[in-house]
Amino acid sequence: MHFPYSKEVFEKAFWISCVLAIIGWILIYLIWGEFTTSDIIGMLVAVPILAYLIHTILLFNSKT
Amino acid sequence: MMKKVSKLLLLFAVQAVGLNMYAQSVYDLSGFSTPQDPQAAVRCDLALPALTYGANGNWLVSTRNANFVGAGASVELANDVTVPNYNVSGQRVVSVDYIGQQVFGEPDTMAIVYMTNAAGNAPGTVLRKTSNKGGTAVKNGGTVTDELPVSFTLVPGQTYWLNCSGANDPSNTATARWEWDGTAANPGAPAFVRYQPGGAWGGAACAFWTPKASCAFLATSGPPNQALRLNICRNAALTLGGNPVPTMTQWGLFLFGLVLLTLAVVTVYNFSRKSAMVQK
Repeated sequence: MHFPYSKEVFEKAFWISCVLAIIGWILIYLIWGEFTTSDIIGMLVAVPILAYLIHTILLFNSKT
Repeated sequence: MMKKVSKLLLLFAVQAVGLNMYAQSVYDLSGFSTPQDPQAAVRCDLALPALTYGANGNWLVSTRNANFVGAGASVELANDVTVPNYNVSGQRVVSVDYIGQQVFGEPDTMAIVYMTNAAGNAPGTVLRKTSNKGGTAVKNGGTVTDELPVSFTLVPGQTYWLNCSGANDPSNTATARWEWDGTAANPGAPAFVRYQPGGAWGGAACAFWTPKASCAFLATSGPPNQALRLNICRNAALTLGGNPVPTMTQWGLFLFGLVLLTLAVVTVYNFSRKSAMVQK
């Protein structure tokens, strides 16, 4: 399987992912009223994967 | 064409992530794996305000065969309480603290009885009996805490009569006794009493539950009500009898879904690139 990658697009996607992570933190606090170690580890893993997902979707818009 | 696909995929990704989060918040209990307010024996995700009627510095003996001024004298007290209704789903009284004094030795046992509210606001049918010897109650100094089992529910909004007494064996001639703190704060009917004279404690017996004010010998003893505390939780029953799901399980499932979604999008992207190349 070929994994497409564009540095410029990934940087943009990473920022989007970070914003989503902040919203996620707020939601976690609102729903459960606390943060756990699992939330920190889970978020650290989820942010790059989500960034790559968004990056791949954004690549559909690119001409190359 | 590619822009449309991109928009559709973005919509699908947002929906999938949103549904995943919604499902976790609605159906999973693992968020409760670290309770905010653990009770003595029952865990709950959130403690609701306890109903407390504190002591006012006076107390009255509530012990069978108390023997304190002669053999055989017994006084038992019962107090009514109306369970508050917070209109919160899963509200439950998890334990009751009977606030009192330990005087001289320990009574042989502590007996606790829950009764309905009979017509005329008096102790009615017995709903449950327990003790601190083989039962669910624990005596710690003057405070007796009864952890209510899941099978027994004090319904919000309902009035109950609660009786807590020390119980000495008839052969026990020691002066061990438990005394229930008084309070003027508890609304509802004044405390009821069962009284058996003995030794220097005289007057007429009140063999059945009688308003304290009508039981001549004890009519003026202590405040009108007895001190206690109802500890109330939200969703208390949901974590009983099982181990909470570790929070990591939720994250594991979320990440698994996210990776699958990413691989699916990459596959679609690769296919779209291939078809674009063929068209060229």
